[in-house]
Amino acid sequence: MRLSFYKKEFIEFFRTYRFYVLFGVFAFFGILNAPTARYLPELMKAIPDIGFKIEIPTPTMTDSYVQFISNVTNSFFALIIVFMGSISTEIKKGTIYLVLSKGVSRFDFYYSKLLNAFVMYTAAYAGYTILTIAGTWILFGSWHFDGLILLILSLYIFGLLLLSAVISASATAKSAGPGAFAGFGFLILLPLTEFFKGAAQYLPGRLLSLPVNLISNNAAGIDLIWPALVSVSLSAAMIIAASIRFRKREL
Amino acid sequence: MSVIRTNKLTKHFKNVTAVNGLEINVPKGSIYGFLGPNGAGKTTTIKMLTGFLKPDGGNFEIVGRKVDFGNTSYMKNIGFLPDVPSFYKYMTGIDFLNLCAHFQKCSTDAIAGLLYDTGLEKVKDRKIGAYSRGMKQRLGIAQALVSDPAILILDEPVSALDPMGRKSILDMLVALKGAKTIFFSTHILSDVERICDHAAIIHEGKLLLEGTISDITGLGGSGRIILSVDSEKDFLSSHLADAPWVSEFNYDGNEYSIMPADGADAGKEIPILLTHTGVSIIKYEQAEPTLEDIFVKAVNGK
Repeated sequence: MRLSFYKKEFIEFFRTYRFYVLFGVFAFFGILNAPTARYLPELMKAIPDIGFKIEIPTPTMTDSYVQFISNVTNSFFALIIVFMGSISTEIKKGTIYLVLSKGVSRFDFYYSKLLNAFVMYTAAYAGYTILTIAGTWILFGSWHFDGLILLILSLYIFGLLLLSAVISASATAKSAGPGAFAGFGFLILLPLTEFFKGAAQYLPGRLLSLPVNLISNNAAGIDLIWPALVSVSLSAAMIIAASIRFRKREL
Repeated sequence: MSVIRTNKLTKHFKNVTAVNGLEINVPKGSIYGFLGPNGAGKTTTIKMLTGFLKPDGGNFEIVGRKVDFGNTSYMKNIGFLPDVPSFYKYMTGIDFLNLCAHFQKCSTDAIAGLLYDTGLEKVKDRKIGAYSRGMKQRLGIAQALVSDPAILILDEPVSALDPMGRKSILDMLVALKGAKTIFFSTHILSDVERICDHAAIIHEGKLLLEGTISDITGLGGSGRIILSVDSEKDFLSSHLADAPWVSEFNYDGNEYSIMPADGADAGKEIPILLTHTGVSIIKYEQAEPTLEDIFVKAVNGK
């Protein structure tokens, strides 16, 4: 039962627009990161004199990862759009009735949706990362620096938190709106937690600022532990609360 | 033995009581017509029976087991068709039926036969997104039967079908008589008369009548009177409108169709009325009561 419903979810993802949107956007920015880092300074130099001189440093390999950090937010927009109606759309359209009437439990339904979203996000993010690394290696001749794994992991965990909020909201709502609201709300509001000076080092917003500091050697692996733990705990709490609500809600 | 039994089943939506203390018993092997006008509470009842809505009061049993909201394991023995079935549009008809069989861990052997019986054989490889409403309804019936369930709960199963489609599906349900318990809601009385052996009539969430079709029609007393006279129609109409023994009547330009509130009184009063008005009878016919007559009487509180 679980396998057959998950299989359906997996196949459905590839047979609908969602695959093209998610993988297309992640791949697009993944391909763009290294060339942008490498050639943007040259393009800037080509801009006609505007009265004052802009100092443009020589691009380095780490600039490619600055682009990686910057563009991951754009990719997260696609992530939210693709998954914001995962469950609510099935309820709104009525397709959930035939599935649940076939003995598929609400537990299986919910967790299959969640698992599919996590797997697809992981695959898209992996593709984004590999394309950036490959581009960096081709254009700069090297691709590795000490904090790279932590940088990748930090943003990946932030994406998981975002996705948990989107799917959880989708399971408790009647339309895709709350899923979008939760996703974009997290994306906009969590970076603002950096203003809470005492608590910021523990909060999920740090997952977005930490990668830049890793590049500039102003952060270490230990700085990732608390924001990561809080984010994973918050994700688990949202997922469990939504699954309980989904199991008890009327359809 | 009752396969489906409700006990004071109640559901409110804000200030509206959609189902009000409903008590029905669906006998094993019966074809049970669940009748009511639009908004009577049929779909709400079915949504509670299939675990999509939580009753606000009362409870129900499926095959003798009380069902708690949230536990849908009993649905494995039930084939269900919602009032407006929705499918995954990117799938073909046969893909969807195969998926249903996998969900229910049952053989896919019956699918070819179901496609044939529901008239979907030629379009089985077409995407469901390109199906007409009638085709979707047929696919809905096929999916309900995939696992060969002992109980079928069908919400308006033939409402979207043309006369030929309706006939073929009703014939299909008749063929299952005895082998399965079929509970289906409808407001099409002729369908119930044609295939059901049991029925219930609900109105505004309340049960008005329940029993075998012959029991229910037996409650109706006299049937409709068809009366054709040679003249004085307006005068006769005004008398019929005021007569206490008339439940309702209508005049189609040629004949009066009179539903008597009291058949015995009608039998005595009509000749007196005709003598009094001085009109001659061209035709007088008293039919056996139909389910429609009973339905109209019950819904009108008579």
